[in-house]
Amino acid sequence: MSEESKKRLSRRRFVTLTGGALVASGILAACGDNTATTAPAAATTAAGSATTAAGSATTAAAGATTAAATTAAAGATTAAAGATTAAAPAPTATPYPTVAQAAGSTKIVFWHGFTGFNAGILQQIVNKYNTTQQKYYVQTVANSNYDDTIAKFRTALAGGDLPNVVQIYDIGTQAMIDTKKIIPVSDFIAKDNQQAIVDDIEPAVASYYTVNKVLYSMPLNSSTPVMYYNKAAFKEVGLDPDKPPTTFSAVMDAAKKLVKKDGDKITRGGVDFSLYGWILEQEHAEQGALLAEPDNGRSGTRANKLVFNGEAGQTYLNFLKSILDNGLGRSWGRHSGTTANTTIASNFATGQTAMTFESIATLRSFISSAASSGKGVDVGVAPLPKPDNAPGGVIIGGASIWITTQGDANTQAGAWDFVKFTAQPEQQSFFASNTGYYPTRKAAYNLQEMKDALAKYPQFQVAIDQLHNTKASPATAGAVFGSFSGSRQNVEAAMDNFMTGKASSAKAALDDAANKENDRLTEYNSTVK
Amino acid sequence: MSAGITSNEAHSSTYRAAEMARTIGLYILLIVASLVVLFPILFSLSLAVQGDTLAPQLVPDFSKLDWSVFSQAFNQEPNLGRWIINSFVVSLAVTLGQLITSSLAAYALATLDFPGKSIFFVIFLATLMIPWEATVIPNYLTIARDLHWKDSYQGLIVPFLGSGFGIFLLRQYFMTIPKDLYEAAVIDGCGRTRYLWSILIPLSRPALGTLAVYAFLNTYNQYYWPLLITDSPEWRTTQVGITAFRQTESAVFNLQMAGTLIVMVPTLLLLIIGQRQLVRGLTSGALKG
Repeated sequence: MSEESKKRLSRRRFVTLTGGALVASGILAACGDNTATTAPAAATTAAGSATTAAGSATTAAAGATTAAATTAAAGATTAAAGATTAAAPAPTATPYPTVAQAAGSTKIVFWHGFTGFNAGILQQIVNKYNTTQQKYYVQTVANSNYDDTIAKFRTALAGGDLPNVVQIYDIGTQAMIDTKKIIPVSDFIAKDNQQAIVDDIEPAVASYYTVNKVLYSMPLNSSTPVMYYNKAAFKEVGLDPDKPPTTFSAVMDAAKKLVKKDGDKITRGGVDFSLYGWILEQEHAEQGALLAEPDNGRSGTRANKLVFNGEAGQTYLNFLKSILDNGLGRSWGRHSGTTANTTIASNFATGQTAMTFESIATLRSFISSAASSGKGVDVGVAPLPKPDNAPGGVIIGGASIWITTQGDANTQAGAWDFVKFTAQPEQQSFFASNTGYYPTRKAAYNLQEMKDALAKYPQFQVAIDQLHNTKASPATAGAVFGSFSGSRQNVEAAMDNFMTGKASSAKAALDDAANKENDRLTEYNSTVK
Repeated sequence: MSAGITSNEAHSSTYRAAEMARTIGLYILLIVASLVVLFPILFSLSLAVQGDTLAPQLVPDFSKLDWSVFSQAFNQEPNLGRWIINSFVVSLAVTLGQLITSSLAAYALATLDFPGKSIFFVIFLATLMIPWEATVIPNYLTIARDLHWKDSYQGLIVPFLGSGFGIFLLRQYFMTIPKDLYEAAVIDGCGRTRYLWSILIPLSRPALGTLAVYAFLNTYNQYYWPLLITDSPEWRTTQVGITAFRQTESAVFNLQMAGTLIVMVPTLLLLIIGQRQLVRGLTSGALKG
């Protein structure tokens, strides 16, 4: 009996001890290191806590704070953001208090899928809009990510309380058109005589969001994939760091020299990759091949057959497979919904991966992580490799903003006014030079801010050139089809089956995925008129 | 039993040594087990304090731990505290609501005789067969369009106040309590309400405890409904809120992990404080019943 109680006591004490230690570390952490915060950061902390106080005191947090206080807060953030950008290129925490709504202004609700650092940059653009004019007020609603934004939008369709402006990812384009609750940006451009904007949008970007000659949405943030390579490793093995390989066979040749092994185990992958549907789509564009027929769904007839199981897709998969078969690199498995990209980024930053494929939008974190890992990795950027003799070309990715039919004519006009504002070169240059996306406007490159960013990140120019060298065609415009969102899961599963030997050939693997995806597409098409 | 050393003292000292060894062994086992159980928490703490790097280590470099990440998390999302409060208010209200509605309905179904009783029960059961996804849009229409309860506690709480599972669980438990008890109580002059409150509820603590834990966790972990029904940051719950720490294009984990740890501390505290109560509630009835 007494032993029993002793045991229980010790167990209890143990739980208390571990619990106590955890709580203590939590408390320590919460109060810790106030000294390290810089002056502007401290200013924003004050602003932040003021908002919290207002938030808990009344429900109308934004309304409660006085205009003067919030303006000051906004000013402080801009200063803080400026300081962080200058000091560290890596994404850092940026508080982004909203400004108060001016009396008598019309509210425009803007849903977006950004979080973290990018959400802060976007909020600063919105704040600038809200403080430079008093007629409209844009209220942002952050919805966790692109997938959740479109999911929430679909549910809201039923309730009829849509936002006025919504940011939707590239692959949601056809689905958005099919909601019939959006007003094409083209309509506003014609009414407002703003053809100059369209003429100045990057052609590759404009062609992505143009379906059957109508520009449906205004591109906001665009990116393309590139190949990252470690210049230091190139030098080490006698390769020219300024002449990275650009074709599949050249990549294989370079990887043969770059790979390092300990017995059979690869300690530095010549080329490491994740199985990413997005890159497979890109390789179709590189080879001038369509993903969907007819014409990638862009010529007025809805896409009704997916053809990514053709030769172009097989060529890419066989390239990946031969990297594995020859022991030149590693596959880290499926990309979507996993942390494969994190593993690769981490390997790259620590010199355990010599080449890999990723979005140009991650350039800054690659550079800052490589610098902080102290392994002497020198980040180089090359165009995404293509099969020998392929014409080349990439499809842009990212997101655009849509205007909905919600609200009266005045609200819709306000929505357009805001969308137009985000498309100005000043905003695009601000956004691009603070994130890793392209400016969607050609004129943005003439601004000093953008020039400075390019001087600081010369690697970015490679991606811009790759974009500019892409010839416009249905293949490089990318596919639009209603069931696009969610389709990469099946494609990546097929890629995985082939890499792990579960599927006998690239064709068998892709045929399987294409069958499944064609069923989904047919089902989707049957639900829209 | 061996010759010579049969004195009491020697016996008790070997006994003590054996007990000591057993205690040490037990502690080592417990430490290993708790390390395994705590691994996710320790790992997130490790990721949190390594600074904004793409290449974190399993074990951080202890010479340059970055504790400022926790204050950074509050800097970036001043609403973090509010989200925790929201989550608690909503989860507690839903738990309480489900306990009340489920026990009342289950009481009627288990002890009363009224026409159509089995039909009611089947209807309640049928709600368990309807997938949650099918009810999202009707619920959304009611709450957002008809009642205008977006960005409010009502909107987050009311749709979940009734629970088919809770009714079923409690009815089954109430059925196991002998009818004689009710008859004896009635003879002693006890009414229906008093019987529920003074006899049935105290006897059903294990079932109520299970339902409470289930309802609380389910509500606390809700993601899609709060995302749908809240727009302004101050009405978000923790599960939706912490996604704000995700970076869109790159996977830098320190802030995400710091945010996750911060929202976890209150639940952890509640568990540590309430654990004894919870375990007692769950087991006492089971032993006596």
